[in-house]
Amino acid sequence: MKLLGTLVFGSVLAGVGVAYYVRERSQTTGQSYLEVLRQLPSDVRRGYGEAQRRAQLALNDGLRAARLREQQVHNDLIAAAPRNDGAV
Amino acid sequence: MTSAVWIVGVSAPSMALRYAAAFFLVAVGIGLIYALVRLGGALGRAEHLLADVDTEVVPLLKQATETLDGVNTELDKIDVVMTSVVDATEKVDQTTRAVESAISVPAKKAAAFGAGISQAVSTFFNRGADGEPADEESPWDGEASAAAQPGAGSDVSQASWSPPPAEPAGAAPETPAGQGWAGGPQPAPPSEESRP
Repeated sequence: MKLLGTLVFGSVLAGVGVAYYVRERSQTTGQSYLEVLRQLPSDVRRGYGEAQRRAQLALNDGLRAARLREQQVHNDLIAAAPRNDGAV
Repeated sequence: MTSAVWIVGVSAPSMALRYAAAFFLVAVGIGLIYALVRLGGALGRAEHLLADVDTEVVPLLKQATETLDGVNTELDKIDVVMTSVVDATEKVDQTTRAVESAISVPAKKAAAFGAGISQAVSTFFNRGADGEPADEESPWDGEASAAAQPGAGSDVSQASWSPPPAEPAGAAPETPAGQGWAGGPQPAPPSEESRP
C-alpha cells in the first residue's frame, strides 16, 4: 500500500512537471502541446548532454579553484608563522 | 849610597803600582761589603714578604675553593632546572605544532572546498548558458599556473570531455534564440585550446 501510494504520488508529481514544462514551452515557442510532447525526448537528451558538459566543466574549474585556494591558504599560513631564526 | 839610589830609582814605579793596587783592592772590598749589605737587606725583606704571603694567601685560596664548590653546586641545580625547562619547551613546541596542524589542515581543506564549490556552481550556472561555453576565460586559468603546487591540475588537463549525444535527425525543432540550453540550439563543443 505504501509502495502504491509512493508510485501514485510520484506519477502525479511527474505529470504536473511535464504539464508545466509543456505549457511553458508552448507559450515560449508558439508550438502546440502535441509538438512539444513529441519533441520532449530529444529535449531531454539534449538537456542531459548539456548538463553533462556543464558538470564536467564545473568539476574541472572547481578542482582547479580548490587547489589554488588551498595553495594560497598554505602560503598565507607559512608567511604568518613565526620564523625560527629569531628575526622579527 | 849608590845602590840605595839605584834601588829607589828602579823600584819607584813598582811601588806606585803596588800602592795603586792596594788602593784598588781596598775600594773593591768596600764596594763588595756595601753590595752584600744591601743584598742581605733585600733578602731579608723578601723573606718577610714570603712569610706574609704564606700566612695570607693560603686562607684566601681556601675561601676561593669553598666558593667555587658552592658555585658548582648551584650550577648543578641550574643544570637540572634548565633540563626541565628544555623538556617543557619541547613539549610546548610539540603541542603547538599538533594544534597548528589540527587547525590549519581542516582550515585549508574547508577553504579549498568552499572555493571549489563556489567556482563549480558559478561555472555550472553561468558558463555556456549562451551556447558559447569556452569563450569565457575562467578566472582561475591564469592563476592556476602561478600556484606552485606540483601536479596541480595535471589530472584536470587530462580530464576527458565527452560531447553531448548527437541529435536525432529531424528531431530538433526550430526555436527562437535565447531559450537557454533546455530548448535552445545545440551548443558547439569547446575547441581543444579553449578547453580548460
